Order: sequence, then C-alpha cells, then structure tokens
Amino acid sequence: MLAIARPHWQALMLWFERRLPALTRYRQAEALPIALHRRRIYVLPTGFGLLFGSMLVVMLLGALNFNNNAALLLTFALSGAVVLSMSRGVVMLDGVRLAQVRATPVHAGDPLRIECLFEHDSAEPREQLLLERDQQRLGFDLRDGRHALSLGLAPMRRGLQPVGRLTLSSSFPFGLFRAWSVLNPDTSIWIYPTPEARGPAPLPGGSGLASARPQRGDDEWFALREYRHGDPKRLIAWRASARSERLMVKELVQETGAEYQLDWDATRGLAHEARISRLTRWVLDASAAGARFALHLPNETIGPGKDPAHTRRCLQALSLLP
Amino acid sequence: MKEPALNPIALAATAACFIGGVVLHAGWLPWSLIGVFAATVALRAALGLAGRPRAPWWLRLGLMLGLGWLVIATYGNPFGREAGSAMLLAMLAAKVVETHSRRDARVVLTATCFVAMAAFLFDQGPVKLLLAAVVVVMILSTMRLLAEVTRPEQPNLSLALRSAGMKYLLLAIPFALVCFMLFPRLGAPLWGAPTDAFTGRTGISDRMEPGSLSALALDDTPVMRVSFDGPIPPAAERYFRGLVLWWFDGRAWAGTDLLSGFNQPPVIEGQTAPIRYEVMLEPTDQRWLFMLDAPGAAPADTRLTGDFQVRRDSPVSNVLRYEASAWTRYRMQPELPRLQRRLALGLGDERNPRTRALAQSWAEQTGGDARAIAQKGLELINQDFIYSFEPPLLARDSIDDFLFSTRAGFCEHFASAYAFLMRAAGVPARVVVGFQGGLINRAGNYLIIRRADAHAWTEVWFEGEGWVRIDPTAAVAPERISEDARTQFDLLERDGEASWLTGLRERTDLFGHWWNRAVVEFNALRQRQMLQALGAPPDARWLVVLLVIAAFASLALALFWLGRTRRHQDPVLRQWLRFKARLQSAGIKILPATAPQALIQRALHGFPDQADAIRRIGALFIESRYATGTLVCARDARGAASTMRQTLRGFKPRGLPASSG
Repeated sequence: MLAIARPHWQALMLWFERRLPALTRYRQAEALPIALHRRRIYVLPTGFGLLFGSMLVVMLLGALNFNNNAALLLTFALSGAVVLSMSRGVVMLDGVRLAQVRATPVHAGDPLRIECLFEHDSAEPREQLLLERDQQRLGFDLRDGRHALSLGLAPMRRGLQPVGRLTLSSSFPFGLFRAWSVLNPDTSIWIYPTPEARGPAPLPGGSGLASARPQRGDDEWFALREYRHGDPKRLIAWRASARSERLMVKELVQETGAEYQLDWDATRGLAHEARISRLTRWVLDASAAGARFALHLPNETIGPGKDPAHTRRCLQALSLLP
Repeated sequence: MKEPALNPIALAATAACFIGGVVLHAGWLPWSLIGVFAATVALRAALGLAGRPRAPWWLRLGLMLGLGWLVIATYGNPFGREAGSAMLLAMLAAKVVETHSRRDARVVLTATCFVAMAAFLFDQGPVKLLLAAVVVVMILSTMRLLAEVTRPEQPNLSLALRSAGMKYLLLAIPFALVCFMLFPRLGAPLWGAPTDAFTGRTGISDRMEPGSLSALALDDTPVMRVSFDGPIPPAAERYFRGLVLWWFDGRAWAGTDLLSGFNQPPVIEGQTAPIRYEVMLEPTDQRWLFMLDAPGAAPADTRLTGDFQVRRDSPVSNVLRYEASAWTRYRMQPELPRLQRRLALGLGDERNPRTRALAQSWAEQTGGDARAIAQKGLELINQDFIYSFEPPLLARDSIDDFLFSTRAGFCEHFASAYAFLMRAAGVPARVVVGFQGGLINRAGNYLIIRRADAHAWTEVWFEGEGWVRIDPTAAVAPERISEDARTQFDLLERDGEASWLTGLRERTDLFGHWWNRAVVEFNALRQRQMLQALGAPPDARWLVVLLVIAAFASLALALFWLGRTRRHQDPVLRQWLRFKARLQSAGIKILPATAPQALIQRALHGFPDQADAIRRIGALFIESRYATGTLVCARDARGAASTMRQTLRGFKPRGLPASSG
C-alpha cells in the first residue's frame, strides 16, 4: 500500500518544491542578503479577515434577497476595499532585503540579542512590517530605505548556534490578511559557556604564577574583589571588608610576565559542564587581568596568548566542547 | 494569548463607528433608545477615564440583559425589521461597553457593517447612502488604527482617515459600481421579508371607512412619480385607480377577490388613443399597483382583473418601475354578469334606514331610470355639503348621520354615501380607491403623487354604457379635482413661497426620482435590458462573464493606482537620480545596467571641470549604498543626501565633448 503511494507522495513533494518554495526550499538557511520577492511571500486571511469575510457574505445574501440596491452597493464597496487590501501586505514585503544580521557573542544564559538591518530600494515606502520571532513582535517602517532593529532571542545552548528562522510579516492596511515570508539567514551566533558564578577561582598556578605569591602588606599589588566560595582565607582583606558591606578578597593585579596554564585536568572532580564553566571563568579572569594564558583542553591546546583574539579562540573552543 | 488593552484613541474611534451606526438608524429609532445607546457609550468613556479599561462582569451582564429587555419592552418582541435592528444595536451597545482589547473592537466594527446595511431596509435614499459611506470610512480607518504595528501606542487618526479609510473606499467605488450593475440579481427571494415590513406605507389599505383617507390629507410623502410619453393630462383626468371595493357592511367598504370578477377577463373598449406613461412606485408593501384610469393592459408580472385592478403576486417592497397605457374615454364592461350585479347592489346589514328610504323614493319617482337616479344623487350632494379635512365622527348609522345631520366629510364619505344611495335605488355601484390629481414637477416634467392625493370615487353601471366614473367629491368641491382652483385648495402648497425655493424643491424631487430609477429600482429585468443594449444575449451567464472581466479590470486599475511610483523615499537615491538625470540631459549615455562607478568615470571624463562635485556625489552615494559592515542609520543618510543636494546645486554640466559617447 505504502509502496504504491510513495511515487505519488514524491511527486506531490516535488510539486510543493516547485510551487511553494517558501514551505520547503526557503526553509533552508540562506546567505545574506535575503531579498524577498513575490514567489516566497504568502498571504492568508487572519481570524479577523475570516470574520469580516463571513459578514460580507451574509450582507451580500441579505441585500440580494431583499433586492436592496443600496445595501448591495455598500457590500460591494466594502468588498472592494477588502480585496484591494489583500495584496497590499505582499507589496509591503516585496523587495525588502534582510541585508545584515549581527550577533555579539554572549555567554549562555545572558540576554541574547541580534541586530537586523532591513533594506529596500523601491520608491514606495514599506510600512507596517512586523518581525516575529518566538513570542516577540517588532513593528517597523522602512521609510528611508533601511531600518536596523534589535531583536531579543530565547536562550540558546552553548556552541555556534544558527540564528534560526525569523518571520517578516505585514497585515497592512486593515489587519484582514497577513502576508509573510520566512527568513532563515545562515548567520550563527557564538554562545560561550556560562562562566562559573561563584566558586574557587584562583587561577591555577603555572610558570610564573607560582612565584608571584602575593606579598603581605603591599596593597598596591592587589585589587579587591568580592569573595567567592572557596577563596583561601588568607586572601580575605579584612580591613576592606569591614569598610564595605561585603566580604572582599585581595587579588593579584596585572603582573607582567605571569603566564597561566588553564588546564582541563586541573578541574578534575567536577561535573563536565561545571569544568567547562570553571575554565571559562578562568579564561575571563585571566583575560581581564591582562595576563598571558594557555588553555589546555583534552584534544587541543590553545595559546599561550593574551590578545582578545586569543581569548575569543579559547571561549569558542570551550563552547564547542562536547 | 491574552491581548493587551486597547489604546484610548482606537477605543474612541471604535465607539465613534458604533455611534455612526446609530445615526444611520436615527430616522426611525425611538428617542428613548437613542438616549440609552448614547448613555452606554458615555459609560464606556467614563470607565476608561476612571482608569478601568475593563468593565466589571456584573455590569456587562446587567447591560446585556437590561438593553435586551428594553428593546423587547419597546416592541413587544425581538423579531421584525424595527425590533430586530434595535436588538442588534442594543447588543452592539453592550459589546461596546465591554470592549477592551483589539479583538473586541474588531468584532464591534464587523457588526457595525451589518448595522449599516440594515439601515437600508428602512430607506435607500441618497442621503442615507452618503451617511453610510461616512460610516464605512470611519470603520476602515479604525481597522487601520487597530492594525498598527509600528507605533501602536500613538495612533495617527488623520493618517488612517487619509491613507486607509477614504483612500480604499474611493478606490473600491469602480469595483462596487461594476458589481452593482453586473452581479446577477435573484429572481425570487430566498427567504421572506421581516414580519413588520408590511405596515401600509401608502396609507391606503383594502378597507375604507370614514376617516381612513382624510388622515392622509396633510401627508406630503411621495407615493409615485409618473412620466407621460405625451403631455401630462389635465388634473380632472388624472384618476389613478388602485382598489375596487365591493363589500359594504353598513359602515366600511372592503375589496373582495372571490366574486368581484377577479377571475374574469377584463372587457374594455377604448375610444381615444391610449396614453402611455411610466410609473416609479415607492414601496407600498401591498400587492396592487396604481393605474391611470382606465388601464389598457397590465404591466409585466402582473394581472388585470375583471374589475380593472392590477395585482402582483408579491408585495411591492421596493421601488417599482412599470410602464402602462390608459384610455381616458372608454366603455368598461357593458355586460354585467348576474353575480357581479348582485354584488354591486349589496347593502350590508339593516343600517341606514333613512338613506334607503330616500333612495327607494327616487327609484319610484324616476321609474328606475339609472341616469336620472345618478343625477338626483349628485344634486343632493351638491346642496350644502361641506368638504372637510376633519369631518365630525359619525354615529352607528354612519351614512344616515352623514347625509342628514353632519353634512361634512372627506372624499371617502361622499363616495361611500353616493355608492350606497345608488345601490339602495337599484343601480349597481362600487367604490374605487386610488389617487387623484398630483403635483407637476416642472423641472423634470413628471407628476408627483403624494399620500395627500389619496382619493375615493364611485363607479356606477349603466345599461349599455358599462361602468362610468362618477366622483361625488367633484360635485361638492370641484377645486379638489380640477387644476385651476387647486392652488387655493391645496393645504400643502406653500403660500408666497419664493419661486427659487419651489424650483429647489422640484429639483430635489427630480434627483430623488432619478435616484429611484438609476439605483433603487435596478433589478434583474433592467440587467437583461442592459445586456441587450450591449448586444449580448440576456442570459445570466453573460452577466457573470462580463462581471468577472469588469471586476478584474476595475481592481487592476485601483491596484495600479495604489502601486504607482511616487518620488523616491530614500533621500540619497533621490539625489543620485537627480544627478543621473542631469548627466543624461547633458548628453552622457546611461543604460540601466551602468554601474555607479562606471557612471562616475564617464562623468569625470566628460566634465573634468566639475570633477570635485562628481567625486563628492559619487563617493557619498557609494558610501551610503554599498558600505558594508556599518549600519548606516537614517540620520546619516539624510546628512549625505543634504550634502549631495548642496553639491548638485553647483553642478551644471554643459557642452559635452564629442569624444564621450
């Protein structure tokens, strides 16, 4: 039975592929810029459109039944306005380009935003466009040919994540019909692992660090930061803590020549994700301290280095860990 | 998904649409209901101002029940045209009070469209249609406000009116007209009219008793408009026959279909050339038409009965146009069948003994000569009777009372008494009800018949001559009938009215007449005639073919207008196009495919003296168009555009060297 149906099914899917690209082909990620054209914009009546349409049918039947010509004129005038409005949403979307999508890397769990730049070249202003993603709906006009808007996304797992599908729609002008097209840019966002929030975060000793034991009494070598669980007691700055409300610890300020070895093996004993979190925290701390550091992961070693590109490489490697 | 509360402006616009719907019905709605509807809107506004976007549930429920009860209490039931429309408005008013989200507002707007349509069940005049158009503009604009996504918190009402409401309605007008003309009409209704649609609108019913016509004496409402092929006949010949009443019960006259010759063929012999005319009859909700006496032939879809009434199968619930012909000199039914003769001599019960005695004495004096008896009757009425719009009420023996004591009456009193006298004297007689006289509209050269022209007269049967019209009212008040004295008589004639005002009134009526012909009365028959005029067979299929073609054409036209290219919105692009246009007019060839860089090179080559300007404009354009990696915001684009504009001011390429082509 299924075997007989299969060729038909395939033929049907081929037909869909040909006739309804937005449902199939355009669901794949595409390279920017993505230009909308009529073949990938779809229109359907909204719930309100269906309600209004049924009312028009009732009005038409009533007017015809009573041969009431004034009522008939009214019904036809309303229907004309409705039919004219049907294609306006498509016109609003037609020719609009998603030119750029920018996403700043974030750590998993942090608020995630992307910035989209829409453009169009035609003379007619594009109004009442609605960018939809998850539960968010951002309305905008393209009056000067371009508009940039920032869209918050739902939290994502660490790694290099695709931005995913955005829907650009328009219910212009009356909200009776909704024209829409799905945009699936091939842009991806780096989602770095969540750094450990609180925990023993002394950077593990490496060459140079071990000798750089803080010298008591010499406050100039230290910066103060909030106490984290697991900090050695000897580092607590009691006097500073008494002054502020919180428990503060002394931390080594930049020390030239120091080089940290951030080693996967040093985090043994923690859960897998917790190890990644701790390493992330260490990378961030080392980078903030302006120190040179190297990251040793199970299958690669990065660095040593100290520039932002190095930090980025380390964070990317961490986020790609299985 | 829970919808957010509605913006106050959008809410106010929705309420305004509802008020517009009420205004469309204001012509017939009782003032009490209008007041209540206004109060509900005020209640909604008060709730909004009090910071309660949502009415409490008990208020909503109470309002719905209370308003529904009010309508039923006013009309007795929720059915029928008036009660149904009032109920619809009442429920809509309750909905307005509970409106707090976009969804509610959209429901209100949709229902208001239906309310606007229902208003045409009462009146299809041009003013009503214009008002409905205003309401439609309001509805469409509010729909636009509700669909706003860019700035939902600050709706732009005037923009919505201009760019949505008025624009789309205007653009839809060609489509509406095409559909109006070509959409196939139903030959027969799918379901019946509302129950109360039939409230005798001409004021004439198939029962006539003292006072039933005099009540109309001051009613100016037009009943029909008659255009004649030739000159308009004199007033004394303008008798429009409606109903023939045979039964007399001692007080009232009534028609009868059973014995009066309803099923007999009409027998008439015209003695002059027939007068041809066309009637636009306002809705009467009755099944008979009014025909100039005596009718020659029945219009289409009607039948002429043996006593020369014209009947239709369905009531006239819409403006009706018909053509007919009439003879003013004729011999009607010279042979009177026995049954009809007996009917035409019926005197009802034993009432009015004095009149009977008088009539019998006439019969004895004249030896049964019908002509002489008829003359005696007219002489009696000619004595000292008074023609009055407010005749005194009559006692049980109404004709005795009228003839011997009150002696004042309106046309129905005279017709009734005269016919009774004739019958009592043994002369067959019957009462005819219809219209007589009418006003001539000089602007349109047609006759307006108003309710005030309702009239009753008698027909008496003479051996060898048939039925002869005798109007006893003409004997007592000839000015009621003839044209010359009419102006002193007509209570509706405005004394000393300026002639321009009369002209204006005539023109207004002419427009109403035209409206009735062109719009209200348009029907399946006229569609067939239209098709024939176009040379197509009168077939509904052709209508559909034409409809599809014309509807698409009208929509395409409107869409083309909507999508026509206006000036470029991108300011940089606009300046760039100006730059290109100047180069082109200076002789540089530019193809659509010419890239900006190439264009700039050619311009530099052509006009080395303007190199600075060309470079600056080119750089700005390329920067703002093709710069990638930076998000150029609108402000930058405007800045670039203004620099380009300033540069263009000094850019005057002239005299292209021959080398560049």
